[in-house]
Amino acid sequence: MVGGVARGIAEHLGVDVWWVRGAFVLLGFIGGSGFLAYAILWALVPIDTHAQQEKGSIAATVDGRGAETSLLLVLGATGVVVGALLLASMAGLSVRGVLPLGIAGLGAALIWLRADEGQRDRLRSGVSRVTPGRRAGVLQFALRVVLILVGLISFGVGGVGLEQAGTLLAAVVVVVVGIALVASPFALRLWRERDAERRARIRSEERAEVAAQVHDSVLQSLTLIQRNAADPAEVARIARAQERDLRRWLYPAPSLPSSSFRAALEEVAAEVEDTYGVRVEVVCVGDAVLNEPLTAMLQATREAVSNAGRHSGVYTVSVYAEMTSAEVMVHVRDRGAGFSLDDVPDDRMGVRESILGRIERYGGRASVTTEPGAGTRVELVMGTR
Amino acid sequence: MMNAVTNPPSVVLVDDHRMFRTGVRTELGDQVRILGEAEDVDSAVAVILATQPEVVPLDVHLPGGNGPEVIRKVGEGAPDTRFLALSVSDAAEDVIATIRAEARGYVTKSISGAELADAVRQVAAGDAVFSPRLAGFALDAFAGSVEVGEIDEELDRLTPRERDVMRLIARGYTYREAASELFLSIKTIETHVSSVLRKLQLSNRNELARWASDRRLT
Repeated sequence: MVGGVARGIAEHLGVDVWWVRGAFVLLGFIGGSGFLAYAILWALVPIDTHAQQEKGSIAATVDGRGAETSLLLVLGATGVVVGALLLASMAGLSVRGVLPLGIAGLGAALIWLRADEGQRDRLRSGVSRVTPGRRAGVLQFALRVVLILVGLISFGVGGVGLEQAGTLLAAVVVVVVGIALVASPFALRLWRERDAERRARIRSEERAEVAAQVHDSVLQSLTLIQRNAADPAEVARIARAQERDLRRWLYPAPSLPSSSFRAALEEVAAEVEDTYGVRVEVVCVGDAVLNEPLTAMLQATREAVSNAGRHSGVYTVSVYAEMTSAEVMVHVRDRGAGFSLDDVPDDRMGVRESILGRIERYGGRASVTTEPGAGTRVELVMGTR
Repeated sequence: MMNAVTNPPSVVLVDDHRMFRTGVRTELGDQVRILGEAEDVDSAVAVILATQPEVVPLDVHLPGGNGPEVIRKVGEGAPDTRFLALSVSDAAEDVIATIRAEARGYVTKSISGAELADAVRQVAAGDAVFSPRLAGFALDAFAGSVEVGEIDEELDRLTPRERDVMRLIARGYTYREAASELFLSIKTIETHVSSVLRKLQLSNRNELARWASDRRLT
């Protein structure tokens, strides 16, 4: 009713608004903490403009900060109020004396902290703002003024009865605490605005970085592609290299250590792509630390992928690596020309030495399955201990 | 089912790049019936509700929201429409979000027209479609031990057979090739893949979310 805080919280929590209002009123009886909690929530919780437009009244909702934050705020506010009350009663001031001050503070806080936004809102919504909304605004303002008056008057009336020596000191303490309470949400809001400015600055810096990246790599590649338009293989190679580069920039891999088998394998795939103008699709499951046997395995993989890139005659080579704590398995496959193992002359080092020999020397297993016209599959397995 | 076999499946293309839509339209040719196209969330929802296509190849990133948004907004409005996530270079969490919004599969935009037509047919027939990367993702996400008492056990791990199937798909095998390799029928392979899809959609494993956020899936 007063500020829409109760409705906002009710919407956020998905309960009936009267429960929340009831809770505030109940808290209000406990030393006035409900009122102050309400005031602080009001100042801190951003206004939900959607709800505002739909309902024509200011409904505050708890945004992305989440329910925990709002709960914390309520608890914090309650704590501060209870603390202030304790302090006041220790100083000899009755709770009755503080409560009116609290009410007056609430009213003042509401007017000072929200008036600007309410005005801005009225300007923004212009003609489309419906009359009931305006009436609600006036009603809210009146309520706030009444709050202040009630608070001040009752404090003044109560003040006559307080004539002890410590009263003055206690009153000063209360006023200071009150000012701090009223001012702190304001300071918080200033801080929030500064935060928004900083974010805007970061955004513009990011934009400059994007522009630089686009200029340095993407535009260069596009120029190269136009110049090589007559050579499809070269165009594909440039495009793929650029794609890889852009991907790495847009979706940086979780920084894998240099000893990562996975990272090294992706490196190998990129090299082969650049050299033979093919696409090497790498799928990895798990990861392993690159040791001597695995380095040999990596070289064998490079040989197998290169062979596929060079001889298969197809554009795509699939590489699958599965790494468990016990072993590393690499599978290289193309659907290309294939070949007959018996036809490979003995002096050709490729398959026999570079792939099979390398793996077997370290106690791993390697197999090459191929037939003319049926593609080629190379499977490498190496224990990791 | 008979319809899907005898008639080409009906399709609405959703992608914010006209060039890509035109390319897909040309490549798919008469293998599908294209009922309409859309380029953002709102137009996609409107076209899908109006034409009730069998399959929607759905770009994961769209202006005015993302793929999952389209699926959610269409909701019960097109009960027979199935979605196939299509992505060029997206982070894993986006693809997984689309899968978890009930898309029936995921393929990269780099696949050939023939492969895309196959994928659309499979989705139209009610099967799941996994790219090698998605299969690798499933294997990785469901690897390792599940903490005891952590949610539904059956949903949180793959059976050995499902693992075998995923391994072959991750290697770039088609369902047919996987079937002959494992001496299973294609229908059985499809059942296993659908089951893994269901687990990706429903499992509450914490690792699933964490995995997706710190790896890229393309």
